[in-house]
Amino acid sequence: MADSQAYFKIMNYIEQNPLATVSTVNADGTPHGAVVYICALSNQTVCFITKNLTRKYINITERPTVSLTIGNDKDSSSLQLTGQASVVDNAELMDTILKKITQVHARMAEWLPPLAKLRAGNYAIIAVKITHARLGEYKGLDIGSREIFTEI
Amino acid sequence: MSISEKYAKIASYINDNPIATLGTIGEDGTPRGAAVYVYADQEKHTVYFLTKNQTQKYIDIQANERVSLTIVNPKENSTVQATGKAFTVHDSQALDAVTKQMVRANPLASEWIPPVSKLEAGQYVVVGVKLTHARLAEFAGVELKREEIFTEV
Repeated sequence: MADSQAYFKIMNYIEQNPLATVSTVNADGTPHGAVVYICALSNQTVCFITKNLTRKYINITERPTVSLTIGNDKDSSSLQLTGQASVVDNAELMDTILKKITQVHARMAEWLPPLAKLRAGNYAIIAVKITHARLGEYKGLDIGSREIFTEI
Repeated sequence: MSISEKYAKIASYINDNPIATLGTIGEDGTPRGAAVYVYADQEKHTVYFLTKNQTQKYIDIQANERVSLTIVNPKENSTVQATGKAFTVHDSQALDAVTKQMVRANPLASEWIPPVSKLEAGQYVVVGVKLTHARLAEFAGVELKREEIFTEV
């Protein structure tokens, strides 16, 4: 599969499964995991919103290499991404992402996303430029099948 | 709430929501995430999962035992963020407990065989994570910025 097809497939997976764990590195070298809603920003970049006093934000500004992980147990699939994170200052983009999150949450019991309930500073957009991605789709495939993975 | 009651609450949450993201750090300092089925033992303050000994997560753990575990339940608007020290388990009781938990969790999924069993990545190993910190956040029905959101140990 060509890289462009692989990127398309992976971005489509993200659109269908926007809830991810972002893993960052603390100052003492230990990992830190947090749940975020992600969306595609371009072919090779995804983004999420956080607040600027959260641990993940502080870690990202000091050590920008991150991973993003999505699991879908119903489809027996998972996506593992690594990339370089950076803070994006763009009010229009902030509006677009908040609308997307609100659309997701409008279908849930609570319309306010968890981030809105945290006292942790001001909203900030984080973009992650993907350096590696591996989508694993295990459903219906044999043990050791090479078709399990889509990798870039 | 006492510490043991908090551990019990967090362990119960983990066992009700047994799919976690395991965060590890590679030898080059890169964070990595992987989805794992977990089982929590509230008495031992330890969370277990099954993997294989040639997976990247297992290789990472051999070099750096510090890991994170993250769980989300989007319907209940809740998460667990935990950190701990990982170790390889050589305990048949733990192996039995983890296997039972996976069998219990997998009928809810579309395939009986868990993803790890489809990977050609060496021999099965059970990994335990002795928790050093855990924070359960329950946002549903709680007003903005209230301390009641968190249960922390």
